[in-house]
Amino acid sequence: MMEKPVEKKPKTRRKAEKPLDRDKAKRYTCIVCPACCDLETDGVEVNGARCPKGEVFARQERVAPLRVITTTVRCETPRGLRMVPVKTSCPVPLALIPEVMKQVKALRIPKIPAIGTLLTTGSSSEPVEWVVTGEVG
Amino acid sequence: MECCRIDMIKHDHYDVIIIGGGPAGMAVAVGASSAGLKRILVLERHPRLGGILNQCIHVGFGLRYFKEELTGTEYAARYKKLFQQAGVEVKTSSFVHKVSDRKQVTFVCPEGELFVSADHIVLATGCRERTREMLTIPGTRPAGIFTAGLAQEMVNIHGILPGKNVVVIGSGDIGLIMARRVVLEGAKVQAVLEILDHLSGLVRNKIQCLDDFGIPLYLQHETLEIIGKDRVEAIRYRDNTTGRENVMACDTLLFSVGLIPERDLLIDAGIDPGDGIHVAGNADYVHDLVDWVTKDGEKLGRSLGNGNA
Amino acid sequence: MKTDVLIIGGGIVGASLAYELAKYRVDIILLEKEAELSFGVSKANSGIVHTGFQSDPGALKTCLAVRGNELYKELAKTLDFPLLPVGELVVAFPGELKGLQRMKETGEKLGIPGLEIVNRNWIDANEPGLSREIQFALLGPTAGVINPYETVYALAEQAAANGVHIYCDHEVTDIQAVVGAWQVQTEKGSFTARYVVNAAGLYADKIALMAGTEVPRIVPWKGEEYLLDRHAEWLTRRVIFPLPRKETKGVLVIPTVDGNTMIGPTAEAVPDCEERSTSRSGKLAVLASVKNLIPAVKEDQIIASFAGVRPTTREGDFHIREDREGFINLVGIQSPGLTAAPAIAEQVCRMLAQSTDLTPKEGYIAGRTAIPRFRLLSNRERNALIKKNPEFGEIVCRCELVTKAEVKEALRRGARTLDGIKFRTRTQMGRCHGSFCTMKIMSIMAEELQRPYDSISKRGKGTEMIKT
Repeated sequence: MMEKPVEKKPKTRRKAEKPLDRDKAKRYTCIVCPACCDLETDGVEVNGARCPKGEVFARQERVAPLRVITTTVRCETPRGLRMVPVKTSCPVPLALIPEVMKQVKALRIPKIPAIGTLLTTGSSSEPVEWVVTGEVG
Repeated sequence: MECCRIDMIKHDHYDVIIIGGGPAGMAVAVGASSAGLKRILVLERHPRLGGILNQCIHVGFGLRYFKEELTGTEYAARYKKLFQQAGVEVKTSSFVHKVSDRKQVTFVCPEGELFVSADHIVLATGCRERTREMLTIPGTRPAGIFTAGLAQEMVNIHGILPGKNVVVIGSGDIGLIMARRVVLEGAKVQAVLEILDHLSGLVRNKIQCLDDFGIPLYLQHETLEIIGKDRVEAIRYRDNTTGRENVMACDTLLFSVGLIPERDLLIDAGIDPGDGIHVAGNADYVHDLVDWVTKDGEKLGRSLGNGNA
Repeated sequence: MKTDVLIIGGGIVGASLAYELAKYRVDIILLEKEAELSFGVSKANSGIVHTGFQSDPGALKTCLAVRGNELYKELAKTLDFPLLPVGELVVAFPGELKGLQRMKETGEKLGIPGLEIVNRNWIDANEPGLSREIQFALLGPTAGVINPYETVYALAEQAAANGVHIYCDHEVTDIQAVVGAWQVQTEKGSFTARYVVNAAGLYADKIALMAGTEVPRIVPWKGEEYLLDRHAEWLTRRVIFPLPRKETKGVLVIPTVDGNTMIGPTAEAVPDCEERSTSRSGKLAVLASVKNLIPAVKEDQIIASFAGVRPTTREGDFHIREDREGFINLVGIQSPGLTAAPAIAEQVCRMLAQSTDLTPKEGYIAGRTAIPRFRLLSNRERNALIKKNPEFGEIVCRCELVTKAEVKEALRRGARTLDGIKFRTRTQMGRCHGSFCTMKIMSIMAEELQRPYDSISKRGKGTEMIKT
């Protein structure tokens, strides 16, 4: 029986904490990877990130949180209804999730797409690109 | 002893029989094959491989193993390619319901009930979910009570939303993921109630599934009673920090109160792991990430091939 | 619709009567208010076929229970439903031996065979799980256990095969006496019958009132039951009773047909016939009582719980009377009602025979085979089934090893709800409580019944799985 492994902390030296503009400082937990670093940023400097992705995340989160949306799209086949799993190709503003969901729920695809197929919803001026994420039988 | 027909499975004795074709089973097969074992059989109860990953449409998989953030379904497709390269024999729609201490496996499939034996048997049977009944939460037994995993199957595979006004009981990852999922599908989630004083699931899931959608997480909150004659109408609960009881109206309960490694095959047979009987993946213990399931599974598979198991 | 005999209520009593009457040349209709038979009182019954010595010796219910017990063995064989002859044991703590002896005498006067008072040596050899404080016990070897819902379905299938028309989802709303007959109104239509038999369980008094008859009032008494994991196996081989008290037979330990031990029931007066909740206090009370009998019982062995409601009356005995011409009331059929049911059916037939000819039906179909239980079959039997129908090779319920073919057969035999399938096949009754099989069963139902998912219910209208 295997021992439950402890998530190994990356072997980067702890970065020196940068001074932040306390009036503008906000805290976030990074969601980019399971390390879940505790971040603090004033929009310019970021403390607590163990990798560059965390710094990008913190700055973005402070301005406009972005999220990848995962959902399913209805596909009526002769053999019955199939739900096709999809995700947005790029993260989408958190605030726009309801509108984006409304559009993708209205999407109907005539036959089961292969994994990796790209789909588009939204208007031509504000399109949202999705990628099919599963093999559906 | 029933003869095994040539067209069903290739041999009547294998080096390894792996029960379960989810991520753990596939990983053990890949590991065993890479270590030179030739007669490997994977028995999977569903018509296709992938296990629980097939209903995990959310991201959070593969960051460690593939160095890329994938959905569960993408992880399954990606790993299946590696698995298929290993050229291992697979029989789907085959339900193993008995394992003997003489390392004989009994399974049922549309062609019949067959026996097959091996030098090594690996249980890669995943987990089952803890249910309301196991917790003996008092009250009535109305419609509207689901485990989070069942709700996940309903929503993601069948496009069915079980209810509109949801309370999630337990802060396990599946509950958090399903809280977000049902909100995206148009339901309201009142709250997640957790009996312990800390979150059960991953912090990143709490943020992306609860905080993002304004769903409160109430720690040290105990569900005392389920109310509702035909359909769930409410739960009575207690804040164990103050002792105050209250009632929360809802029409659906999703239970995410823990996973139990699925070891019934061994329990029913009265055998323990050891001497040719192995347990892999979540059937061994509940892993946080499928990436670790894959790593552990491949390691076990290799050790079987190297004769170190 | 016109008929000779209309039975109101499709529980163990109504189904037993339908089965018995179907042997004769009479037209019979059975109306059940719930979505399926047994969904009222019977499904939650403990399932014990009592010896009969536990009831008041002078009472009608006792005499019918003793007779019912005699009939069950043959019934189980004819109708292919499981009846395990486990026997019952009434245990005595120090100072209670006299009570046991009195019970034995009563039982012998009633003609119950095989009664024996056993001592500590016997207990050590035969029921080692019993508390060491128990010195003596009264053994009643003719007691057994059944699955009450399974028996109801077996009786009903046989009745239907012999011409009885069974309508579920038919709640009786009004009853009028007309010339030489009774007119019975439901939301779905009206029925006219020469004879009406009121077997309406919890609502027998309401039905009786509709017909202008006066019967004892139903006082609902709730009982909570707790099922233990099959891994714990039977904690006892027999049904274990403490010495009974006036209100209730006490908290029992029951080895069920399917291998789980069941403990309970509680006994609590409730204001409402539909009050079916379980409680923490009920669980603790049951555990405390049972621990006295079987010290090894543990709370974490509990895997399921439910509650039933008994249709008791203050009178404490069965009310079986033709209270108006052509209208027979069966009121207060609580314990030992399940045991007595076949005898009650005989009794009602005798009552009907006094005013009408009951001639045996020509071409009566005797005997019925149950849905094959894959889990209980041998490898050879399993392969024979799979060869004929590959859907016997598709496992739908992992905990109870139930196949797709069994689920479909349950639908063919009248199941229309998830609970109906549960009670006919044992799906959803295992350790995972349906978290694996529910969606699969819903898919089979949607396809076979050609119904949308949102119409599929747990146990009838209002209990749809999907809330839209």
